[in-house]
Amino acid sequence: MKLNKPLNVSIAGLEFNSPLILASGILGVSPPTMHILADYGMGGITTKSIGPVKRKGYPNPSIIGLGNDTFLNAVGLANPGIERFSHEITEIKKKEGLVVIVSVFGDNSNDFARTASLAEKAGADAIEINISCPHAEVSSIGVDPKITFEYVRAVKKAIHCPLFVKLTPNVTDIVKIGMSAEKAGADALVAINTVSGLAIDINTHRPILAHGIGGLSGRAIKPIGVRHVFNLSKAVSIPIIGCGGIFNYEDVLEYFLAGASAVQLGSCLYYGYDIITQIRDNLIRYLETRKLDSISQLTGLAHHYKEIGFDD
Amino acid sequence: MTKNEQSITDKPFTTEIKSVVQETPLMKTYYVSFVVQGKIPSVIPGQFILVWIPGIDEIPMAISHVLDNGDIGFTVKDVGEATHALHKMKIGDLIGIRGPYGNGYQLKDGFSIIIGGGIGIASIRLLVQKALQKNPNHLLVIVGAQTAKELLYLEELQEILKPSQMLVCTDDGSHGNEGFVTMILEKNLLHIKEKAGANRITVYACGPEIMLTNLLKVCNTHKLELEASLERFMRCGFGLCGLCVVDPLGIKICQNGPVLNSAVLNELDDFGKFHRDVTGEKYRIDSNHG
Repeated sequence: MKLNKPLNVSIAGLEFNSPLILASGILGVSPPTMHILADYGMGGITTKSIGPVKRKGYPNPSIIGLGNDTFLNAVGLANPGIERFSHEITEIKKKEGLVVIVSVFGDNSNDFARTASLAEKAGADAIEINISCPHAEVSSIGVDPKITFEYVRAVKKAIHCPLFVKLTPNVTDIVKIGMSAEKAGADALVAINTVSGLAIDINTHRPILAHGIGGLSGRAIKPIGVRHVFNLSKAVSIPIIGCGGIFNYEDVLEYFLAGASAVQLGSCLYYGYDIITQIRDNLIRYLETRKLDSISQLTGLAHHYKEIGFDD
Repeated sequence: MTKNEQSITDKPFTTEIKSVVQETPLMKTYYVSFVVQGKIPSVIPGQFILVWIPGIDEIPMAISHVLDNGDIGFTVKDVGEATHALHKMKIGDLIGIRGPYGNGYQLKDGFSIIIGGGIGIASIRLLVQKALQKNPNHLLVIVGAQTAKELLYLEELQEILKPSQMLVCTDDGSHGNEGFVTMILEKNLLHIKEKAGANRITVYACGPEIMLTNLLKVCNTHKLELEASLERFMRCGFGLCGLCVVDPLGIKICQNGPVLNSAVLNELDDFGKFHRDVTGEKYRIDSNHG
């Protein structure tokens, strides 16, 4: 670790010049915009989840705000399909120093594997598999350790680059799923995807999102994410990328202390691109004040406090 | 526009349609109360709302009317499934509103030329009102439509504007001058420049994208500043879905737009050429993209 770059992190052999990574599903379609995010301080970007074929997703309303920096969405994995999206991946990859993670999904493990392989060929540095979107069919994969194992194994066999597995919090025991993914060859875990939720309009008596059930993101889910990262990091030895409700540098630090080696940002982009730079600069300031050479030194420090009951 | 705290109105606020006015054969204006938690919305001309038609869709609509009691109005052209469903709704029916979203027109000192084409006239209506209050002597409004029947707010505009402040055109010549708003602007530019004198001239416009791209060319040629309102497909309205981004500046139509100025428009590769569809796929505007 270079002393002059306290925010450099390394995950599965990939060097990130910032631990801040764009979360899947947020803004992840326009290559120039991905490059702009890098300029503002993102070390990596994760594309929208891409499937084997074009998919329209659900009608609107598909993303709404609930107040208090909390959001509910059911986009339904809308995406152009890997063949049409490949040239966008190649374009995104043109930015020097930006780690490009392509999120993929499919109807079966072959679809996942084929889509991942095509994404890698187009230039992806890493593949993230979405087995956890709470408002689409893929959610049934990430709730079962055996099926998770099968899908992770299939994708791992099809690619040469690192494989990240994004986990759902909508399970009884996320640790079992995480361990299963590790055993199948995952190079890192991403925790957490959105929390399953529902909002109902009291005047029309109807769920607001066109799809009904959605995924809750934003400030409200941060403690859930931090808890899951903490428990996962006790059980697995692969790196964990923390995700869920990060709006400032303190939130990033919490995830690191719980055991994360990097983090993903999503809902906070509600406040514009400047928030990335603010978080990055405040992290550097925090490390300088504490005379820490690297943010990685913070990973998992909260585990020292064993007297606290961390189990359910 | 960067916010400091999340707006309570990012969640659809369901409210009854209070009145409906048939403006043209294909256009209706809907009025609703939009006072959320006691707050009357503060609306900048050019801003938009997302209108939820329960069970059908949610679509962006320019705010065309703001009343003193907090009621707002928006004019809808019956062009697709969602707008058609809206056209069938009656007084008392519930719709959801969230917003207002985006950056509106920044009315500047000097001479203002305000241009609306077709349903785009809905976006400039509040700006015309504001310009009339601010500087009525340095104002010209140009409105155009395909035919006389589709000229929106014509009677009202003729009432509040003097004949010298207004030019009307239709593609088929069925009302006013025959031709496009860009042609009318160029034809009258010498006269407008005389009227403006030493004052800076700014053009504000909303209409079909082809009209706006042509307008930008005219404005660039004659060194006039342009503020134009663009339209893109969007899901969230607050900068997260990324579908309304215009390349290569990372500009989000929902947050940084919908109104963009010449400096930005001149840098946009997408302007007049590309949109993104519901899946995020980029396509040429002139293609038969399904």
